[in-house]
Amino acid sequence: MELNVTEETRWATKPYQAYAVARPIKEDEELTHVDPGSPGGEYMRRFWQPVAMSAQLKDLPVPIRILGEDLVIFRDKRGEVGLLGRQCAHRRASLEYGRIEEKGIRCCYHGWQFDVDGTILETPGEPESSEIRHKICQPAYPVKEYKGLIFAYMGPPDDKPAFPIFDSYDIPGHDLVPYSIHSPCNWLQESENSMDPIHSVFLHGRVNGAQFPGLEHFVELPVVVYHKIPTGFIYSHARRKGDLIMIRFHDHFTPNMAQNGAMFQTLDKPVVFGRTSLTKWVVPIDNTNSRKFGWRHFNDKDETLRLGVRAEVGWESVDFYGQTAHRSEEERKRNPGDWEAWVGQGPINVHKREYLGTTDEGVAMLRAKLKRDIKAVAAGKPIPRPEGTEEKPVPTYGGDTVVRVARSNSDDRKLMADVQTEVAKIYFSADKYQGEDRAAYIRREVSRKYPS
Amino acid sequence: MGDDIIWYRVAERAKVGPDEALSVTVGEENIALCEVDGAVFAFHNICTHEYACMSDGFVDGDQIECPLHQARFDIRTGKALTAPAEVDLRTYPTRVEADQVYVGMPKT
Repeated sequence: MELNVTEETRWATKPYQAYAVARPIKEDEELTHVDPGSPGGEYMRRFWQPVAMSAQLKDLPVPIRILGEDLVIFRDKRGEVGLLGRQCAHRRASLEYGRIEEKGIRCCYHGWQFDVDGTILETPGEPESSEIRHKICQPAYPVKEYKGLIFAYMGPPDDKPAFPIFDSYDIPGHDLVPYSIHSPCNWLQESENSMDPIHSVFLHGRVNGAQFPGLEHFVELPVVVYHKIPTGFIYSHARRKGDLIMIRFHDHFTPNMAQNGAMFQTLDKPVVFGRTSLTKWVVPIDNTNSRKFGWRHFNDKDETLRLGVRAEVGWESVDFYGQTAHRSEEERKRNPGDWEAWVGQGPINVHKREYLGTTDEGVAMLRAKLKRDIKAVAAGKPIPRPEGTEEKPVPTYGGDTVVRVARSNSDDRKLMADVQTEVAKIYFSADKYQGEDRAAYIRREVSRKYPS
Repeated sequence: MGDDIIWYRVAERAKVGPDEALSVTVGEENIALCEVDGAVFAFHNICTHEYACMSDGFVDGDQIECPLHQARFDIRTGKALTAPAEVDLRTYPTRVEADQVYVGMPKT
């Protein structure tokens, strides 16, 4: 039978049939592209995104590229952070060569001075009577500096939400250490890694050996339970060790924020409502580059193995395996990590050429939700966005719970699914509480249901 | 009401909408409910191409897309509309009474 290769040919279906898929097909632009005015770009701009680390801002302006826009970020001598369009409103010279002033920044070319909100403070070459500085502004975006990261809102001003505070920003005993790492690939394939609990079995376990100390049991395929919430997904995966069920909860707030369990933990004793050690965002630089920003949570409570290394957490560096480009080519091939996995999918992963299976349920659900929300924004409809304040922060669930439940003689995997669902129900019923009240309620109720 | 059908109450009417299919269980059957033009439709929730829940997929008016490989089906008739699906989804009759949705299953 003759092979008919068309633009719709997605897969090789017979041996030695690479010819069928040699011609490239376009990526899903709606889901992956982030340029201004693009559906995906308009959607991502509705959310506060981290764009820089406070540590980057010294006494020189820093050029950055976010969501396909060239910008400049700086701290003026008052201490205020400004995020401006890179090209000066006058003759479009680059403000990366600007001079930081007491207030704002001064362009090197003709000396125009801009405040951090884009207001023109001075047009020194023009006569005193000039009205230019009252007619136009330098493009500027609002920023929020928070715990060593600088967030920006790059969407329409009239749709700007309050900066959302999540409860994981302030866990007692947790010290948030910021970091940032570049990946030369589209943001979605990097972010999807967080909705893929099965990759941990293979990439972090079976293929080249365990990559995370304490989590050697990841080599076992877990039972996974997903919960859809208006602002994203909460899911858990569980494995058994004797009569203990080790449950790991993850948060995934769309578009691009994720949290998981403790980083260096053995999970071999009962614990209830352990908290996250990693809060991270995957922020698009442009369509083929992304930058991760996040915090590693250093603490003594949930990190029982104490293997975190503060000095390794920062610019282009983090203290867990395989997250950056900065290893030799041979190391990266003999024991590839997450970075090799998502970068290796290509500059923009082509979904039509994938063949998803049951291991990819999370990724598939995530893409459907992103598609729904992207289309809603394009149609001018509101989408759910997390809302939280210091007094009433957004509840998060990422972390570990280990309960003692004897193995079922009939269907232990179903038992593990049911236990995860019951624990999740208790977690969600605690949403009305905050802080220590919430933690105490969850611990009491889970311990009552599953005494250790 | 046909003698050969048993009606199972599966969901509150208010929980079924036009933007996402809702997954319900009747015995061993995983069934999806979705609204098109104000009416409730029910179809088997597992894609006929590979194992995936249609209720995790994108709904586009009267079409639903499988989340794994984007095969499209007609929500009202279950008909497979695009590759890679070749087999239609089984559909079930529905009734709405007192704000509750009922799905009809054969007696046997």
